[in-house]
Amino acid sequence: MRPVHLLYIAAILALAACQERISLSTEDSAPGLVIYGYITTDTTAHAVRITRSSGYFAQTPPQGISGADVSIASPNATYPLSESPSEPGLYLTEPDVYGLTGESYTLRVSLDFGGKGRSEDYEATTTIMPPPELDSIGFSPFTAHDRIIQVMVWGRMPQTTDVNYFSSYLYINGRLYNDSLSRIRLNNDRFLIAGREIKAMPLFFLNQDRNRSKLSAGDTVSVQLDGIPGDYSAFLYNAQGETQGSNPIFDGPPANVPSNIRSLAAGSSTLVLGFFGSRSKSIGSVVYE
Amino acid sequence: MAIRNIRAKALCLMLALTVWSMQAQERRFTVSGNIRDEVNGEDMIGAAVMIKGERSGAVTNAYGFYSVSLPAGRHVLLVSYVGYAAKEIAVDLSADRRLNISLRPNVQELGEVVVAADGLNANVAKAEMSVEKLSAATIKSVPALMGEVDVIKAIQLLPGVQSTSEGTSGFSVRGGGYDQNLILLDEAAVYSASHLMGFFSVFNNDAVKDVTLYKGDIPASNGGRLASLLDIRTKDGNSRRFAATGGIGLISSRLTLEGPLSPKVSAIVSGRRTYADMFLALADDERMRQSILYFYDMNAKINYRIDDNNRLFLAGYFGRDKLGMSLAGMDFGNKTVTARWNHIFSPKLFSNFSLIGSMYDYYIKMELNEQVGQELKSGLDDYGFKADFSYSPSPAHHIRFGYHFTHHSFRPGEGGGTGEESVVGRIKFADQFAMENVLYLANETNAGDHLKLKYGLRYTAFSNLDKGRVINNRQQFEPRAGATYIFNDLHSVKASYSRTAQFVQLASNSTSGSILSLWFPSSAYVKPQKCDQYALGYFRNMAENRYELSAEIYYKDMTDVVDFRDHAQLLLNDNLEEELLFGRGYSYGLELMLRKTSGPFSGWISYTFARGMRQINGINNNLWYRSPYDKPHNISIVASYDLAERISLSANWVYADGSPVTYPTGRYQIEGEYVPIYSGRNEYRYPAYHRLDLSAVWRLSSPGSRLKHELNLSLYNAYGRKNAWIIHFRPEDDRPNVMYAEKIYLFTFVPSITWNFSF
Repeated sequence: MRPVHLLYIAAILALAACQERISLSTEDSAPGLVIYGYITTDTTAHAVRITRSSGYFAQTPPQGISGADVSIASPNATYPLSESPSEPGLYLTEPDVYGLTGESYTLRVSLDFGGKGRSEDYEATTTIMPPPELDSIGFSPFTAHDRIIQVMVWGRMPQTTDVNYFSSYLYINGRLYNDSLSRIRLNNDRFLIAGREIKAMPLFFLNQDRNRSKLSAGDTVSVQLDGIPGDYSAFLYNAQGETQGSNPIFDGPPANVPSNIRSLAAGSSTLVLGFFGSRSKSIGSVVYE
Repeated sequence: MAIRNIRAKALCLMLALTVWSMQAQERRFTVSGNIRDEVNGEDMIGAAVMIKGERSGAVTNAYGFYSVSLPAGRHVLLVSYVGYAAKEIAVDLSADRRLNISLRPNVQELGEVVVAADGLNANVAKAEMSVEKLSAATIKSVPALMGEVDVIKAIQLLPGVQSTSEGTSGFSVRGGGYDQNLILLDEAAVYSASHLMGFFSVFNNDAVKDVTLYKGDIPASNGGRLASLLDIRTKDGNSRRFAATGGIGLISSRLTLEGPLSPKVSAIVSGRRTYADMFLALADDERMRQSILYFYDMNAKINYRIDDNNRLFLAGYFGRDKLGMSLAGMDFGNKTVTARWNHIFSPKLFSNFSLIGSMYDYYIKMELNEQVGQELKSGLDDYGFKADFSYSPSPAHHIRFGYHFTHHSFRPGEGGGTGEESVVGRIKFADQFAMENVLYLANETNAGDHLKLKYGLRYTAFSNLDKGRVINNRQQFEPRAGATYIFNDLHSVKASYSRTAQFVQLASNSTSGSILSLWFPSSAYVKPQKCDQYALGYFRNMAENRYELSAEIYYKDMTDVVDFRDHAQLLLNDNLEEELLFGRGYSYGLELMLRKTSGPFSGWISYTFARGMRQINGINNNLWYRSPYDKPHNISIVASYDLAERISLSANWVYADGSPVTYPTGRYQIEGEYVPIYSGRNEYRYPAYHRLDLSAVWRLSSPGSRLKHELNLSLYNAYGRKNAWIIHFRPEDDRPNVMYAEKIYLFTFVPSITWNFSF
């Protein structure tokens, strides 16, 4: 949600708003096939998770789907993924797999979803974008609140002609701070000045009254900037928006988040959800003093 | 081609009828003039001048002018306006005659409530339907949120009109969008009619003289929006004596000064300002003390009666909202200016020439730090000229024709980084320009003693401009027609057809309205939206016109309806057209209303059954879905009762089926959080909305005193109904896999007190 929207909502809530839990049920939609994963420039076992969607008010975690044939292919190689023995629905490459900036990668999944008695093929392609260059990390008190420290970065965006998108992650002593969808920071350089310099760009605001975001002298703070494709950025942005819900003043009607994964079967009625994306990583660390 | 031929033939036929009607006249003379309020000299809009014993006559226009042509000899004019003592005036015509008439209000107290604002049986006799008029007194009598008397909140209580969201000044008429209402303030379009996040409208009731809402059957002189015309006229200023009106309320105070500046000149200045920011200054928290939260507005008007045939008006509105904290801020507002010249060429030919300006803009800023502090400003300007003529060759014919020109400048956005250290560049999206040329001709005629017909044609040429050069043209004919069959003075049936077209639209997919919205024009890619509306109604007055009953059914067929892609990026998007989708829609409904127009007990009960559907390729798998304002059942009960000489009570109760909503029906997990899978668009409904508001007026002054003052106590949402403003979903704290629904509701038990005065 944009800061101005927050300002508005804050004003409204200050005026009169109250909230109350209500009983509400909706008719469960038919289960959909959920495929989510991404290829990165790290050398690591890359993961693709395949699950089945559930009713909105279901009380159990998502159910993994076993038995799928999964692979990621570049123009020069194909990397098969095998299902984790400990976690059904989690498919992993070998640990020596890495992606190259500028290369395109295609995820292929073949499985029988919904007990049709035959496998259906699903596919999505992504291209690894160049990452932002990260020069340094700095801290300063946030002008609007003296118990908040803003974490700023210096660097530059890739010198491309298109808009570059990146997602940001923060680690405090190796622990990921923004460890869920709504905490991922998404930015782009559409409105940065010529040269695409990143200068004192505040990416994280750490409340010093909360344990998980409190910084102490000697803490190692790492910032990771991932170059991501525009469609992946849009997927994450729209998914963030839908998890937060909409309000009648600013937001349009709720809508399903489009996926880049498509069924190759003609006339398939399977609802396919999720995304196959890519991330090129740039990371830097500093000791907080 | 066939349709064009039909249109051309219809136009030729209309012109032939008009010419014939002008030629086939016997020797007649014209009595004409203005009808004014005897107390303050205000011109009265919609007052009836009937010829006694006949069903013909005239109604005063927006400037209080009437014109009736009659055969030579003696006639008796019956002049009436609800809430005023009717007059019978004998005239002996042997030449054209100027006759200015003053009507005396029946009651002159602050608490006076006259629900209608029109001639005595206008409900039955006028050749128009789907029209609602509200007097300033009626609007004032309706219990108001936080005591802020509000024109639009009163309109939302009328049949066929719905609030777009809890407490907002956005409204939907017969299923139309809130951007499909043309709101005119002294002829100038108001593009954003809301203050304070939409909870109050920009119209200060103290400055308002007349409010007319056309839900259909829009006169050919007006157009440009699909759903409705809300025509608001401000007072001209008391021409008899200096007067002041004002009030002090919980969130705002207001003051109106008016009076004659000379025998020929009168003026009015009306202003109000909220003062929440003054209380913020008392806060302990420094950040809160530095916050800004207020709005103000001012209406001003001066008019100069040069002579009996010439009159000048200059009117303006200036309003602004300011909202800011240390992190971010915004301000936005409207300005309108109207300069008018009324000229009477002859007793039969009245003209008005207007120069009009309307400006709307907003500014927002975010100041996270010097490097990434950003600002954005956006807006639009309209400048235009209108020449309107009304020609009354006989009591049986009233012809209106005119030409309108408007130049639109759309400024989608300009802004970027603010500080010298900023890493954010400056941006400016290309301004867009367009011009609108309109010609219209309409005639209202009596075909015998019982039947009134009216027909008209509006032609609009909308042109996109680039450096002053026309780069695209859109043309649209908009026929209007209506018939009224009057059984007798007590009841009638009416039918109407109107085509409306909309050439500018709001880039907003919010259902309730947002000040961050952007208007954009039709273009080579964007066709104008069009609506054909058919309506049929039965109208009956009872008990000497004290009760009015009406029943109307309507059907609207809309084409080229604009909507937006899912997750559309509407702000800061220089490829906005890529976000647009087009489709069609329809709505239909039944509106019933029983109104008691005068007396100690007055008010109305209305019931509306309304449905609306849309089909737009790219939304809801291309299937039909409920429009955002499809609320089938609506009830409004508005009542005012003079309990004693000094005490009046008012109440209103509203009920509406819940708004259509898209709920999650499934979920999947991404990055540790559940992303919803939604039902079909608008497949579910919010819980039903209902609310009771109460108010009491205690008149503190004695009836005869010049200083009149009163206390207005009101209670909004008196039984504390927790109407859902938003329903959202969140995981339980201790069971993150379990989602639950939570509603946010805004106003329960909101009491207020306002002190009003006038002298």
